[in-house]
Amino acid sequence: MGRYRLGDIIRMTRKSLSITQEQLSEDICSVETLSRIETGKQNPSRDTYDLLMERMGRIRERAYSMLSVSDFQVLEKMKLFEDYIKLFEYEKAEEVLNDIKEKLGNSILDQQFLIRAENIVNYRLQKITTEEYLEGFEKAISLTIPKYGIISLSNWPLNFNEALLLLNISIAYAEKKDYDKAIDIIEEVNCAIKQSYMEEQQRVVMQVTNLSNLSKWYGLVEKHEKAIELAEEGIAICKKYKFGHILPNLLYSVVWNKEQLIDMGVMPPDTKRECLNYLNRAYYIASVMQQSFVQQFIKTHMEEKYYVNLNQ
Amino acid sequence: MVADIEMQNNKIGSAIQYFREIHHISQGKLCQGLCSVATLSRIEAGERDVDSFLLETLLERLGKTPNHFELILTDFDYISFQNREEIKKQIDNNNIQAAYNRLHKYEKIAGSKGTVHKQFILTSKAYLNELQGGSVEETINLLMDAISSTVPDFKTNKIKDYYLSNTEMNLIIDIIKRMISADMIGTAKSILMQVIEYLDFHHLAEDSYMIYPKVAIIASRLFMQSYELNKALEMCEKGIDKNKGNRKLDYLGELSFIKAQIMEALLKAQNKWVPGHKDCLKQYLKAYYVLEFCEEYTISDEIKKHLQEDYQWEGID
Repeated sequence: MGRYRLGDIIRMTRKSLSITQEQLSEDICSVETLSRIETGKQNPSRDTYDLLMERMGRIRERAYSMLSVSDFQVLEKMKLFEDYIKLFEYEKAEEVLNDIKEKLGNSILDQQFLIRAENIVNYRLQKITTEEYLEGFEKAISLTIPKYGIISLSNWPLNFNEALLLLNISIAYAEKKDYDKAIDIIEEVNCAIKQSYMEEQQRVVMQVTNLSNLSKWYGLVEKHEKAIELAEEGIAICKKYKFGHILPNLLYSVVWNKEQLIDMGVMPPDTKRECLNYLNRAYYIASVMQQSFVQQFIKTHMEEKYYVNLNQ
Repeated sequence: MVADIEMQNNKIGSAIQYFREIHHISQGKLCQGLCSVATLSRIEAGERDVDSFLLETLLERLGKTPNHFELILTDFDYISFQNREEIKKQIDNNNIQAAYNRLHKYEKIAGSKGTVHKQFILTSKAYLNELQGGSVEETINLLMDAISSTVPDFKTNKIKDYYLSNTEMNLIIDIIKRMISADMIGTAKSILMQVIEYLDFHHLAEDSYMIYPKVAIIASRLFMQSYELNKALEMCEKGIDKNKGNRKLDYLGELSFIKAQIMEALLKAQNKWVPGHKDCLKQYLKAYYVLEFCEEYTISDEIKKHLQEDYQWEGID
């Protein structure tokens, strides 16, 4: 088999992102080690290689030259697992996960995946408490960020999986109704991902998801102006990147918070006209995006609050 | 993952073999127009120093998009990669002369190094011809030569016999678009039908939802022009359907608008249309809100005017 110069791959990827060796190596290996790896004087361990590439936003499933056939089979199952989670099919997800466990190795990224996956399944199947759920995620994140909880992550070069884990953690806090803590975490993540080396699409998707959650939670702690501002920021990103998937939620968040402000007498009653306009957009965009649940939800809201019948 | 596999081993050959076999594609089919079966066998067996652009195209034909740099093995690969990036950048920035200079340099080192390089060179020449105001016919000829370098019997209605990469597919769509603007409707249509048949037949590409809606827009417009309204509607709905699960709005506004127009035309043809028809109105509103959000104001204003005049609809502000 031909031999890949791993050092070259790391160096070329790093240079294409204009990052220094110091920035790339922090908490993964020493700068000297990275330098030796890049010049081919030393071979990186599997963990080091994976972590460096992950930090630079490379997508592991696409590393075709690095993976073996059994890796592909595991990665395909991991994808299937994520699909079941998205569909709320937790029993099926658990079955796939048991299958994955038999074949999974013990690299850091494998362990992180496993802890996160087991945690989600166990919680959704009501085998663990919210507390344990939270602890599980925190254990998973500590695998790649040992100083988690001690340092601020605002300047940390987060990779996509870490950002996803932190999103899971914040949602767990929100489920415990600790919205302030949930908000703190996501604010840090948003700050960090602006300067991370994540692939642009992944970063932007993460950003709008975060803004949508933040807006919802700020609304729940009655900081409505802030909630509106954040949702509008998310809407602007959707406009720039032509995202439709989360747009109805963001539009609805603006409306809901404005309605609270109208009820409180902070905003004039004729703001309702604007709200109705936003709801119309949200309704039709949800319809085009084939999100029937969201569409129905907005329709009901329009009927109950605005006496609009969309069937006429 | 399996623990500590030997890291430096090039596993790309077994990856290609694995994906080829799970999709039941013969070696001969996969490498048509790219390399010989003997070469593909050697690649799968793990031969070293294979051209990275050849590897990339083979993977793309299997519906996979590899990470940048990971396939690069030799200095030739790296220089080719840099040249290609520079040429693309200069074309995007409209620097025609700078792009030509780089292209000549690239042609000298890579022009005889296989069909994938030849394809890139011809494609770049076609776009440059367009940029400097050359004739559409010349652009079409160059693009046809480009696609024919990796799909040799492109002109003989055999697209379905191939497994095509997204690069090859986009090239074909570009040809169709130019043929339509050069009024070569008949030829454009026959290629388009092959593309649709191909897309319905093969489901390999991970991001086929990026291709299908594009094709659906072109096809439903063409069918509408020739009053084949049912066919137009079918294509349009397929395009919308394939977009499910995609987070982007890119093609949805246009597809929704076309669908509304077809629905209206169909009802009118059956004498069933009345001013303010509810289903049509709803379909137009879907299109309106997406296009307005995407700042496609020319079409959204057109819809608004149409709805005010023919649907007595004043509900948009």
